[in-house]
Amino acid sequence: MARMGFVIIVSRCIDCRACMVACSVENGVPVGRHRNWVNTVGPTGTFPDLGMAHIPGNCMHCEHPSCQRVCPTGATYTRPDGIVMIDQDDCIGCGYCIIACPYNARFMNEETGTPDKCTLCVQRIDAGRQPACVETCIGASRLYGDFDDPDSVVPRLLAENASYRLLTESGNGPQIYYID
Amino acid sequence: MTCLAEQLINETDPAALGRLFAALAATVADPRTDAGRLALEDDFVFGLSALAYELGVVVDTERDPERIPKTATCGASAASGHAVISVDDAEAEYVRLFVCDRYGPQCPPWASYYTEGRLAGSSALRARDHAADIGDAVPLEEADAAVRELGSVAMLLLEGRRAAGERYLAEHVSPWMASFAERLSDHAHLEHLRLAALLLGELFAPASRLPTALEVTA
Amino acid sequence: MSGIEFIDSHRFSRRAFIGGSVGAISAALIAKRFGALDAFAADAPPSPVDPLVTDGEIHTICEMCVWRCGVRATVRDGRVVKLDGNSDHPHSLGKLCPRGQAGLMTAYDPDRLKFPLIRAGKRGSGVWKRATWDEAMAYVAEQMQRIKKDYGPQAMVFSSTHNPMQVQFENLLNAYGSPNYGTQRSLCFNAMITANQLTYGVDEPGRDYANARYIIYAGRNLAEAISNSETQELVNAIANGTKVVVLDPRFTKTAAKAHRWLPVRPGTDLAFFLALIHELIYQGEYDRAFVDNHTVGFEELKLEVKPFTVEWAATHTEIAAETIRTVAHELAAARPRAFVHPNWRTSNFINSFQTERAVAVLNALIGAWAAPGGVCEVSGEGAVELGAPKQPAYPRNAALRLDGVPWKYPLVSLKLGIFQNIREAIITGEPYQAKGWFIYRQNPVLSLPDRTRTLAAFDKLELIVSIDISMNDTSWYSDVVLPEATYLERFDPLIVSGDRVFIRQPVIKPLFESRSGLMIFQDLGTRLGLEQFFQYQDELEYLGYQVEPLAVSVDELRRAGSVKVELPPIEPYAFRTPSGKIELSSSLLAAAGQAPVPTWEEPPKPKDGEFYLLTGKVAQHTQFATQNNVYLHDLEPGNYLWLNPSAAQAAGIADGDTARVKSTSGEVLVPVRVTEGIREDCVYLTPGFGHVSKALMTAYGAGVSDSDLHVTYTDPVSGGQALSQTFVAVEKV
Repeated sequence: MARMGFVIIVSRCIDCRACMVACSVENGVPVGRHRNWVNTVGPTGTFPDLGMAHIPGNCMHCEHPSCQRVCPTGATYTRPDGIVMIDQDDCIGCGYCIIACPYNARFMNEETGTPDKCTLCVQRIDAGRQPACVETCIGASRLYGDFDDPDSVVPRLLAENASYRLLTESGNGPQIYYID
Repeated sequence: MTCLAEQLINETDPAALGRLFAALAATVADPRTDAGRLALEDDFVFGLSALAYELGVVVDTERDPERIPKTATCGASAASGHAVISVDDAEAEYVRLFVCDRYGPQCPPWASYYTEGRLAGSSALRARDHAADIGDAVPLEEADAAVRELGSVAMLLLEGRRAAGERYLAEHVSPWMASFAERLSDHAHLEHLRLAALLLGELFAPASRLPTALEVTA
Repeated sequence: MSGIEFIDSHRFSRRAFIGGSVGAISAALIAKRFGALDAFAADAPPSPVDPLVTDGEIHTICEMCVWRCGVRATVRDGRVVKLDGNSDHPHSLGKLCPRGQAGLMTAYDPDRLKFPLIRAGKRGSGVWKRATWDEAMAYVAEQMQRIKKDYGPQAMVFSSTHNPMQVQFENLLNAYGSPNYGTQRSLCFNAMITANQLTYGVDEPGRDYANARYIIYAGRNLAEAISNSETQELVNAIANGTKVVVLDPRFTKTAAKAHRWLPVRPGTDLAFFLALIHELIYQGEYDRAFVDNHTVGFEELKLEVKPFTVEWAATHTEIAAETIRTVAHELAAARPRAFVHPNWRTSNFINSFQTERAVAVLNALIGAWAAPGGVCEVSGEGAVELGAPKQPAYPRNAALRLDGVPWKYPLVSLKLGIFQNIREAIITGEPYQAKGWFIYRQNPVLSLPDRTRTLAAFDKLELIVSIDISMNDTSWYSDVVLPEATYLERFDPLIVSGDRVFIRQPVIKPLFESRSGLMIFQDLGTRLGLEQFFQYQDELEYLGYQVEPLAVSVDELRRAGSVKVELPPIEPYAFRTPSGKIELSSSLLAAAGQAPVPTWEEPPKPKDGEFYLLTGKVAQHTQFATQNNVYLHDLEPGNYLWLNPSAAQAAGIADGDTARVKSTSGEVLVPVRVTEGIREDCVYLTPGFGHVSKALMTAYGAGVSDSDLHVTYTDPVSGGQALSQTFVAVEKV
């Protein structure tokens, strides 16, 4: 089996947000909406002892996605490789999935009338290329791959580094692992 | 429900409606072209209102802040009671609205601007494809300009092709023409453009969602 | 009276109208099938079909900033739909920054220039006449000829942001015969280049990040003033354990990644580096062998820096003496795999020239030159010889340059110039009155400090011509505005990067009536009677000349995107200085009556209650060029004033309040961001905002311009502009 996901090395992120522009252009996302993001924590502390961190994110392609549970039509589904997708034809635009996602990873796309989110650039990875955000990440903070493939960079990074995930208490089993 | 323009296609003589669209296209055409010059003629503003009136497109010119039609005291031609528009004034207005004012056009005339905030959007792709289908090789960035789209509607209707005209209108023109009309109304000074703004606004205002009559079941 | 009544009240014959004019047009529509469109829309002139401008993937070069990364453009249905980094290009290494990614909106910006314009009202009125290229060029040429005849060619000023067209831009002004050449470089890095030229005989040393163990920056903010590949290298170096020290009064994103952030008082980084030099010399931790073999002037330097102890530096920089001492030792321990980054201009003060000299000298003291992990000479643009059409020698012109180079500023190179001085000379009319200004790919009204002075200079000119891709603040005040095609739509002269020659080529046809600079100059040159200097009929012919020494055809180059070349070897220890060695003490400086070794120059300080006005960059914008780009505006829609909490409290300002910021040049109203990340005596405002036109769909009302605040201060030695020496008062509104 395959289990696609991301490893994000937080210390490498410089908050340039090239990933956000690349994603929007690649996937025709309406300007002002975002499938991915960078959250900044800080500056924390008091002058001059300060810290700051930038934390990229996007749909976590969860193993047990809340969005899929609440979808009344089955439009939200998981591919065999673990990528969570939306079938636009089956989607009725009810928007329950947007509310259900603990990561706020989905938004209503006004142009299509249906929810929208990261698709791990399936059109690129199926053609042997990297997702747009990963390819352009200046800091090489964003990495992706198959956690079930020992040759992929992501399981190797997890083996060698302490990592954490966000909101694990949700029980969703998110597939973005953060390394500091 | 559809906007007034789409209703009119089904309810009126397509040739008459076609002429209205031709005249509207002339108002937003470059004054250096034949159609653009047409819009500067003495009788044009009257004729345009008359065409519209005949088709039941009614606008209250009293509400227009610039109060068209102008009175005879402002350098009007005696015959029409309208101000005479010089070619220089028309060109300056055209440039200001559609080409460049201080940083850009005050009233961008391309569909893609209103639907996608850019030039050469999917509106332009579709418009270019439509033009190509009828043998007209239009540069992509100019394909969805108001003058071309209104002219395309005019052409389809003048040929009596109601259904094609309605499809073209719904797909290419209705999504943005009301916004364009509002923008034009904000910025245009010259009479023919202000009238065009009012008429386009009326034609393309999104229809009310309330039913016009309620079915009563016995 | 309503329209209906009005119509009814006139005995106007509707039928006559319907039958008449509109009817005629309608018939024409049917007949022509709206095809030729003569009746309705002016046709664009047909352009020849270029088979390589087609759907697919096309390689070209980005122009969203000066780094000029290699780009792979994906074109579908004749539109650019995605830009990706070219992995073959040393500046992109397969990645693009947010501006590069957003670049396609440059071509599709509804506010971009589309047609030549000639002003039809007063300058700055925004009233234009749309002209044909023929009309516009005839007017420009006629005026330029008249100015040449009546006042001499020196009365025409030519200025441009340095870019790949420089070779042809310089060709135009040289052929025309004017010595007055302005570029933006004095607003950026005159201090750095002049200092490095005097010390090493190179413009800017390269940096070996892969092997460096210790790096010191002063103001250079690679995480936000992104230079794609170099930013990548820095992040990788830090991940690999390289220690980084950042001197900056502000907690930038680069400072946030540093091991030490030293919030020095602005203008005092010079003291810091002088103290480092002192420490290394007097603690015996410098590289003796290197200094003996490759430098001159050590004894003079040692004498000069004697008083510059870490304690002395601590009083100026407000960094603890122990910290300064520790950094000196850490630097020494890491040498030679260490360097002090040349930066662009450190603290942006007049004494930044001395700071750059101190930095250059420090790198020599630690023996970092030509060492792994240090600095070195890298091949520049001139390393690869490209072909050119044969042309006669340029006419000679003995007139003095208006910017005072070199007759007032003997140490400033001609290619750098002092841009802000040109403006002053236009205002004063000394040494002679300029009459015309030809501005290419540049926005001096926003980039020069003190906007009102630039406009005062414009009032003295009879001709202002602007060539750009958008109606920027400068074009707005011009007499003639010519639309250049964006970088995605044009050829430019070939670009040398590392050991490859790259081509910038159109990935889509030029939109509307825009044209490449190559052809605009060819047309203008021909009309000016200078056709022997512009012997090409189209861009491909010009490029054909350029590729001749490269043993590749233009076609092959277009398909491949680049070609590898052999670079001449660099002699690492042959310094192009008068002594042939690294000049810790510079004989040229001495000859010019300046301090020959780096020395202390006390920077000015703001009065009580005043603040230093800092400038800087954000990753999402390039100076003033990108605020109207929808993707970039979405990420960073405006600017706000950074203010330390103590200062905010003292002024009674809360986060989000509006503040009035005033300098002797002007004032702005701007929202405040209260942050710990800045010294109490400093405020910061991101430049580039403050475009004021409603028609700028996206940028209207976004932010304020710091050029309204900047006061003009010029370093007398390097001609560099001291942008941060402006002090401001801040009060709640």
